[in-house]
Amino acid sequence: MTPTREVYWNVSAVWLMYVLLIPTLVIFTYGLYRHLRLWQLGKPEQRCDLALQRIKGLLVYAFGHARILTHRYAGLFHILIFSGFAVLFTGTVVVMIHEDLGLRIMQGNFYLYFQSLALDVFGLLAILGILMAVYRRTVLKPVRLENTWQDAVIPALLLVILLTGFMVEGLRIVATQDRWGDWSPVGLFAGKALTAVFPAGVLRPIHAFLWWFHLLLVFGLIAWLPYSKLLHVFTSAANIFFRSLEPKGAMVKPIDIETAATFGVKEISQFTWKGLLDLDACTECGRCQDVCPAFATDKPLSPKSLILDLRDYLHSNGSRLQGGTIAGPGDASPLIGGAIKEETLWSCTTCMACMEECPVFIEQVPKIIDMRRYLVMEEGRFPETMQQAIRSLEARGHPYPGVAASRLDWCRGLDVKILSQVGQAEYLYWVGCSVALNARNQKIARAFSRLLQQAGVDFAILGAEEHCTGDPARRIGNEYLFQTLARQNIDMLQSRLVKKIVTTCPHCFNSLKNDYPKFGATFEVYHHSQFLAELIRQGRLKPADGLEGKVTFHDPCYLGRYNGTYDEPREIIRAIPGAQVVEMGQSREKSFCCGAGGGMMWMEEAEDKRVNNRRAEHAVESGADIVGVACPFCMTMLDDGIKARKGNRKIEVLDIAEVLRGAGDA
Amino acid sequence: MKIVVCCKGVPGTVADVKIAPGGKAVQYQGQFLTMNECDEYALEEAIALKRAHGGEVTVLTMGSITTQDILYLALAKGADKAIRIDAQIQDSQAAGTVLAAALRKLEYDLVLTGTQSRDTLSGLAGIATAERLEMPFAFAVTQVEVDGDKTIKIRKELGGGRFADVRLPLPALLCVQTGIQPLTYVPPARMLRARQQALRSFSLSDLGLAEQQIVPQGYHFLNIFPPERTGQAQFLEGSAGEVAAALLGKIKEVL
Ligand code: SF4
Ligand code: SF4
Repeated sequence: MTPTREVYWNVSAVWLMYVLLIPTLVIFTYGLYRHLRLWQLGKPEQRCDLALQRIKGLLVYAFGHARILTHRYAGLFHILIFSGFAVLFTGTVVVMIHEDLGLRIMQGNFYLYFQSLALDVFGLLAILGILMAVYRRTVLKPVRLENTWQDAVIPALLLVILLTGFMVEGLRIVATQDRWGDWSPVGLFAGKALTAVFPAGVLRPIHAFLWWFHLLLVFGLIAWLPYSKLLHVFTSAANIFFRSLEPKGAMVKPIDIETAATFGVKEISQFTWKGLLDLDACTECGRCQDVCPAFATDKPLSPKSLILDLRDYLHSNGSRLQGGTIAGPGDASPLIGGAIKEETLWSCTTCMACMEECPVFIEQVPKIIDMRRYLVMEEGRFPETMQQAIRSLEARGHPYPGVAASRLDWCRGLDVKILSQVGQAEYLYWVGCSVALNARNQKIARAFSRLLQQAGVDFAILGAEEHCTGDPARRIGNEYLFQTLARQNIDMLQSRLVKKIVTTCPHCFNSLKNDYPKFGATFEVYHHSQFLAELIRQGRLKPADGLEGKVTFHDPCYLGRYNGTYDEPREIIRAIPGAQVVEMGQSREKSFCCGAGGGMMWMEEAEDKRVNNRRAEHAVESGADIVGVACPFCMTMLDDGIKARKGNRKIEVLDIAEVLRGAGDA
Repeated sequence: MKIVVCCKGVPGTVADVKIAPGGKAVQYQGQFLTMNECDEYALEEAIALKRAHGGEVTVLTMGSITTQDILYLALAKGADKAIRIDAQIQDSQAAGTVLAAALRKLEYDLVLTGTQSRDTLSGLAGIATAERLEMPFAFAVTQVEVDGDKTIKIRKELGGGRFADVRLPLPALLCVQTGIQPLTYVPPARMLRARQQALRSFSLSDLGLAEQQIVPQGYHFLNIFPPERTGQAQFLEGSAGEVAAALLGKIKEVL
């Protein structure tokens, strides 16, 4: 006899199931359709290219849980629940094929191994997963999670569905004395337990009742799904599929200044459709909030709340935006200044920690910049100190109002060539405003140039011809000014026949490398950490000893998360005999911003809420004697942070070039 | 109230001031020009007055076609009309003659301008203009109060941190002090839209002026030159210890 089972044992009026299925599917489809209509409010955007890469992402990040699993506990129970229901759903499809399509596949070994054993095991694991989830929400209670009524109803519902499923299975096995019952151990156990508790006569009615009860719950769940948090099953997967395939450094999209009727996002429908899909894809996991330096220092910004506030705004304003009438109070409230506070937008350092962390690839930073663009480019409404920086950029080509230093001050007595005078050099050393015009940071340029000279690199600088790359303008939201500066710089660099650029500033590096190609640039761009590491590898620089001590490296956001360079700076430190690398608790991908990016360099922050002080604390906790940095902004921020500390353990902040040079000097 | 604001286009920074060949004039040609900051305050004040009392703001500048940019900026900030006098005049007295001639063609109750321009720092053009028009004026004005059609009450700076309240009959010319209003940031969108607006321009002959009326009289630049570097700064090289030792040596030398 081939192993199988009777599908509708003890169930009469099966037709009713099909009848009930119709409203279930109608409600379900309508729910999805309503979201789809909302996403259609957004502007067009190409997110369907490179299908293979997108499918791969779907497999790795949605089915494979690659990012979710970076958090062990939450990742584990999520994959238990996910795979449990995936297998059980497949089991249901098997039944459908077997019974409704008449393709007898639910038999033989497949029946025993998959339909019986695997389903039982995965069902049990799903129960385990749900219990773990409930334990986390009720006992562990991580702060980033807020409990709503859905967070009680959903696990309860899933649990009851699973348990009744096992009971139904068990009662059938026991009553029919199923000879393959041992292949369904969990069901069998449930059946035996029920038999022990209830008198034999009521077992059949109980089975019939539970069967219908289970079915109604499942149908109810399906119908409710698009209206609940569980919608993320679809939206998260879709969001992963349609994620941006650009490098992080290039995720901010240029505006076509000539054709744009208005700039930035004032109304929610000015986001793209993908931007709106993002909002419905959020699983409310709070991981982005956990890593946000603004949130950690009590600023009015949480990337999670930002997304959820936008989502709620979209949902409550949807009918108005679709041309309907204003439905309720709060409906016609403005997006910016209403649902999203302006202070929120001016708290973000664009550090990308949130986007690195989000398991479903939601894009917070481009949204913040889009809303800033509206405030800056349309309204001219942004913090006074940032305005001064922007005015200075417009008038003087650098964002430091009041600074009178010349771009050549740092290289006095160093015999550094100026491109306009020598005509040609293999590498252009792009110094950057924050290095060239800041007394402390000028030493970085000196150290780096000496290293280049030591290694015999043919390089020159632009001197007075160098202007800001426009990065601060772009991140603050003044895309117009950014593009003006970018075009000027590209023209100038091309007229000077520049091919290869090396820079000591990750912000310049990112702009030259990721922003400029959109405006026709084709330069080969290096950050000085990459360049120095390569010179060491080639044996052109030989660090001598002289540095005894522990060095911790602070990853700059625009070098690390934006451009994936984590190893080279550490390689340089390790190459110095006597130097030892120690890591801070948050490093590499999880590095905690210094607080300067996104124009925040030009924001006054309350003493007790400064991001840099927090980071300086991390550096001290690492036990290092030296904090290595690779960015002039980080230098200023960490230096201030360390100086502002009360404790007496002072540690030195040095650029990676200074660390290397210092060792070579001795 | 009809207000005319006189604004000058000046090099972006003091460091950018270039000297024309011959060494007797500041060069404006081929220069990136911005609105003279003192005049920008006058414009802000005019716009604030318009907002409070209604009326119309006209900006007036003088210079080559490149100065148009500052007129667009003024329109973007909220000025209603913009006029350029097509002439390049360095001498403040002569500038006063030309501005006065242009003002005679316009209707106004009040003329505002800054106290001085960043490049030539003479502080004369406003006063000279008022003098040509035989109009009352006040210098270093920090507050303007419009309380009637015929007169205006202002507060002006005196020496030693004192102030005076003054009443002037209208029309009058005020050279306003910096900081009278905060400078507003002009969003690019408004700047781009302002660029679509039409500008008027006057030639010297439109103003009925002959060349000889605008040559400097009694005031000539003999020679303009950059600051001489005294070049006394010296960089000490070496490790912290070496630098400290060298520094100590230098201090001992002079003591
Ligand atoms: S980019 Fe950084 S500061 Fe901005 S929301 Fe994300 S984590 Fe917070
Ligand atoms: S945006 Fe992403 S990381 Fe943040 S709560 Fe939503 S799903 Fe989680």
